[in-house]
Amino acid sequence: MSSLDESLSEHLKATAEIRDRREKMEFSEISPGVVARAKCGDEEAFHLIFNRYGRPVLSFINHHVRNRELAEELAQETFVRAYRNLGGLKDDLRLSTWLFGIARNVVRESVRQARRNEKKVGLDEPESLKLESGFVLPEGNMLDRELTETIHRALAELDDDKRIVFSLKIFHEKSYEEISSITGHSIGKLKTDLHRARAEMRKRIEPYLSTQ
Amino acid sequence: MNCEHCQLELEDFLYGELTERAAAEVRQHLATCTACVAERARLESENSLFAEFYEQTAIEPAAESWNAIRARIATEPVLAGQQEKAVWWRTMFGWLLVPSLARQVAFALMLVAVSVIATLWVMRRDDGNRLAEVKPTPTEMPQTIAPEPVPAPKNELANVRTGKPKPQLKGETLKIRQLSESEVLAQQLARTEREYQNTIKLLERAIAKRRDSFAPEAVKKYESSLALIDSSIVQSKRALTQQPDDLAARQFLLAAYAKKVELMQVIAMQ
Repeated sequence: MSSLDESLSEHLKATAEIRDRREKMEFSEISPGVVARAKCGDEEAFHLIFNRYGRPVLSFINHHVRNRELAEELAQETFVRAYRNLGGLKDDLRLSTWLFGIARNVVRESVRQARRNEKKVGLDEPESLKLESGFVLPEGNMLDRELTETIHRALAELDDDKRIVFSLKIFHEKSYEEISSITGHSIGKLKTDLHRARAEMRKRIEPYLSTQ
Repeated sequence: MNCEHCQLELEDFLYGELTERAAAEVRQHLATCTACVAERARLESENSLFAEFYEQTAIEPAAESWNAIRARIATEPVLAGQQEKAVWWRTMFGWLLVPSLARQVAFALMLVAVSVIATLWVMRRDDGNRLAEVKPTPTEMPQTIAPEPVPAPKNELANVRTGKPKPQLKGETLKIRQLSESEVLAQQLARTEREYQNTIKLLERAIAKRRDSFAPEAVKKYESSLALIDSSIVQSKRALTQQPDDLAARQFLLAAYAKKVELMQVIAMQ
């Protein structure tokens, strides 16, 4: 076996381990029993679900609306709808995918409503590219802050479909099958959107990569 | 595998989304191509950067978030019965929720809606005329006629079921009562259903004439799809018999008819 093969095998193994760890972590924290209890209206069980998925769901929403206050509001709406419709969740092991699906719908409705109200909250409008007051950039040196802002802006300039697939695949490491369940799009479209999104993001971050 | 193909597959390769065979091809190509190895390194470094970005910008829900959710769900208890119903419908009619189908069904329903509006308009106009002329057709709108002649049938429904026209008394004054919402809906449904059934009959004749010219495989697929749709129609009708006011069942019934017409049109036009 060549050294390249060895390095690739190691990479694949490491990737598989990370996935396994993530899955185990997910299942150890939210067992199907907890979901079943939540389905029966057990508030404590639902609180566990919120504790486990509050951060990824809120972050997913915030990367789309870029307004902390609005993101909090939409995340709350997501969890309320989830609680109401838990009975509709067929496969308890796909809770995360299901929650992201609800979050995506909530975001879309909010963006549509905002467009209707001409408040320009939607990310496609240039006005929305301005950082909202509620969004706080992490502490760090100027390059980090600038790079973070560049990625935020680049993300905001993607169209909705591309941004969603990019976010779910790159940030949340969902499989195409899961993203397809969340968005309703075919895997072929998702691959094309991801490829284009990657190319657009690359253009924006390229200068930073070469200087690092 | 060439470089262009390899670079298209690289991202999926890194995420373990390729089949074993495709992954083996990528691995084989990477073993001999420095350009693609460089591309892989580039992707990995971008992914590291994005991962770092995510970790830096991911936010935790505010402390009061759970309290706000809790307050809302406290007033909205889980409606177990409603959820079971939703699951039942999803199982039975999940195929109607596939986005492309949903769009087609929505279009068909839009056509139905136009038809229903036109029907209602005509019916209301007819009602106006009848008030003036007092020339009712009992089988057409039996439920709108209140007083019964002598000898009166035991009930209105019996008359409708037997299909016998009601005897008309000389000088009888007919009163038209306001239809309830559910009665209007039931009328709309019946009329729309009839329209679909008529269209289906025409399409059946057209398909029967050309049946021998279709490929056996196409006929097989057509028949299995048709059986699925027919089963949905039967289920919806059964649900409506049990719960005549079930709006979801009505919608699914019309959607199933729309789908059937659409499928038959595709076959008939081949």
